[in-house]
Amino acid sequence: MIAYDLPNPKQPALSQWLASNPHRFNLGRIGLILKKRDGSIAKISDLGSPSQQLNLWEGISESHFTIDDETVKVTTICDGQKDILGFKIQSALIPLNRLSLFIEFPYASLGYFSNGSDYTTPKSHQTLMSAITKNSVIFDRRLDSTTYQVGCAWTGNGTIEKKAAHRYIMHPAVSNGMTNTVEYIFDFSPSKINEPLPSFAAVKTSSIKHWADFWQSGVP
Amino acid sequence: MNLFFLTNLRIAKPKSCRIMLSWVLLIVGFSLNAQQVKRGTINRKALVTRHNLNLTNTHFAGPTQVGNGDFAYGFDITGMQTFNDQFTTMSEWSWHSSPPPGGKDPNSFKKP
Repeated sequence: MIAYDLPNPKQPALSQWLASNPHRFNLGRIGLILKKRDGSIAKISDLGSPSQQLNLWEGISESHFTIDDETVKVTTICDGQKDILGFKIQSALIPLNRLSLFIEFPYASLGYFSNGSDYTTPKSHQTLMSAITKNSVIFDRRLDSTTYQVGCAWTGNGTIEKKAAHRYIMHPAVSNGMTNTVEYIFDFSPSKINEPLPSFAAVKTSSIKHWADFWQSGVP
Repeated sequence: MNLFFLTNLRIAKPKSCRIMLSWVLLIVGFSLNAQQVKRGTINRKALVTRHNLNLTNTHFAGPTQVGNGDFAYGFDITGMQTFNDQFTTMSEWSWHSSPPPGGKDPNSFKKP
């Protein structure tokens, strides 16, 4: 019988370290903050008429739901080549100042079969905002020796607000009271982001081409 | 196929050739028909898109994902990670190592 090389009972700490490293981790959580008419934050049970389609041929998802009878449409896409996400959000909640986005960065998780996220140890990692403009920002992330950047850009004159060490709220522009549509781009990169982020339309075009090519060739 | 067969049969004048020609036209007719639904090929768009997701249940386990083969974003019924903190954004480069315990050198590990 051949024994596994791990663990060595005489080196328990090092055995545990070897078993749990390296591990994949969650680069960041991006979601919506939806407010009901009374100003409270909507829960999943507050969604009306939810529906979601994922078009596999183009790699594009469209989600529809209502909050107090106001419709929200979210289009979710990923660039075909780069690790870039595009979101297009259409809702009357935007000019009503009842829709915003959040991004939250967790630490990596050392748990067995974990999802790679630990939101409970904010002091174990660092998030800094840099390169702030009126419609873009870069987050510099550090988890021990692992570093990466997350670029974020949006249409209109939205604002960004730091809520906690690793949690930021993005408010779409509401000033003109007319805009029901906003687009957000998030670029995840292990190296420094030097180029301007692509538009939502460019990410969409890239996704459609990538997936049509893939399904017709089998080559990713 | 039948129409093609009959039309051409009238053109075939020599009686001696009629039976043979009808067989030829029958075969040609079959092969023309076969080309309309190319043999050995797949209508890939129809095959792929009939598996498109269409969800209406907020409790669907999920996640739904978009990605590019190297990177993926998993999301809930809102199209984002709004209500589910178990869904993730990961890339093939998103790997992390914690520092070795107590300043120990991993090379000092010995097989038991």
